[in-house]
Amino acid sequence: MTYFSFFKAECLALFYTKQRVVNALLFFVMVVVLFPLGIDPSAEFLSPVAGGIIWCAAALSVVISVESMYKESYLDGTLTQLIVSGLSLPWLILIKVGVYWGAMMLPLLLLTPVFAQMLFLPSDSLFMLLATLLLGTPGLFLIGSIGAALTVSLRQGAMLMVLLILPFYFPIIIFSTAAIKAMQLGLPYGGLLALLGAISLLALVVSPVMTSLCIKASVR
Amino acid sequence: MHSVATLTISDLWVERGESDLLNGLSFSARSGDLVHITGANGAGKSTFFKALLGLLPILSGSMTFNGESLAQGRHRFLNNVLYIAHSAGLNSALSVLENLRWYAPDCTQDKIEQVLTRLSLAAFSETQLQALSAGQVRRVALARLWLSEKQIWLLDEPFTALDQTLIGLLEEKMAAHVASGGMIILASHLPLANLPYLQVELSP
Repeated sequence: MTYFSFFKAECLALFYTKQRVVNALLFFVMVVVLFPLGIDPSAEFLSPVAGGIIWCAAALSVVISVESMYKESYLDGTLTQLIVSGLSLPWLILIKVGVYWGAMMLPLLLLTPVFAQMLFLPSDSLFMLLATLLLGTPGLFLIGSIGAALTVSLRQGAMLMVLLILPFYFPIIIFSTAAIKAMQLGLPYGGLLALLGAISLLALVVSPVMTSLCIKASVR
Repeated sequence: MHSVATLTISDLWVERGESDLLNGLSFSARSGDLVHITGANGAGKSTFFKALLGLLPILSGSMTFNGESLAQGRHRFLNNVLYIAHSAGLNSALSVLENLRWYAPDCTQDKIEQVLTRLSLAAFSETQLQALSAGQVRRVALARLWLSEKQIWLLDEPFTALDQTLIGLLEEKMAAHVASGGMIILASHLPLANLPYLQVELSP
């Protein structure tokens, strides 16, 4: 096994089981579509909150897609094989999270301009929305990876995972929506983007190590 | 031909749930040895493998590979190990060929096809693993033995779900591996009919 062969196998497996990613994307679409229908479809109401709606929908769909990230590998024994492969487990985890992020976020980023238009997000804010999604969502996936690994051996671990990771999602959502709002109001937003990037970078360093410790504790 | 390697286990105790297992297990194996671990269910055969691989912490004792403690040099040990566990360790979403390419990316297509033919799996090379029977999945897991260059094989109940033909093929492959300087540690309820081995009996 090499890092590249693992990357290829992960891409293929995710392609064959694409229902998981499709479900998460459908969830994203449903939340974004139903929200204005349920509250107020007017441009005056939606325009200032459009960034927040898209961000919350994205965060929740990330939770859905990462929840079972390690479950099947745990059950079929491939997680054990990764641990004893002699390769660095944190690097393998980083590859897996990267594949999930790519599979989920590329379609979501492509859909975002359409939904931004639908929610009357000012066109100059679209760039900021995409920038926050690019900067913030790696953090969501990396934090989600720790929760998924922590609960991988539990039969009904999904709810516990959500409770564990959701509080760590709050800063990312807050800084992202604040950056979009700051741009709309003509306020400085560089600091907020820097904070967002810092959170994702911190998660990039901490998450693979934490996830690998959780996986090793679960696979016994 | 593999280089000389030694694995020494001394006074090993492992905690599993409420009980202590392995009861001070001690043995030494070197290149060309086949160690057959026997024992009743629950005696700790799989637990031993997990302790050896670092998946379970040990209570006391020591394990050394080429004179270096596994606590320090686990990475070097794992680089030489091929572990076939109870569970197949294969991705059920992938085809037989894709699984084997994942584990053995350096093997040529011809070599993989030869192994699949030898194990009567050639007709299923493009089949997703979830469509195969338990015995066929086991064959795919064991196909890794024919494709790997690793020196130390750790085999946990390798004969499970195999027919007599495959058991014969596997024994033949194991004999060739130890003859080329490989080392095999195997846990099985079945006796090894045609192979000389060092037996280690575990008691619960």
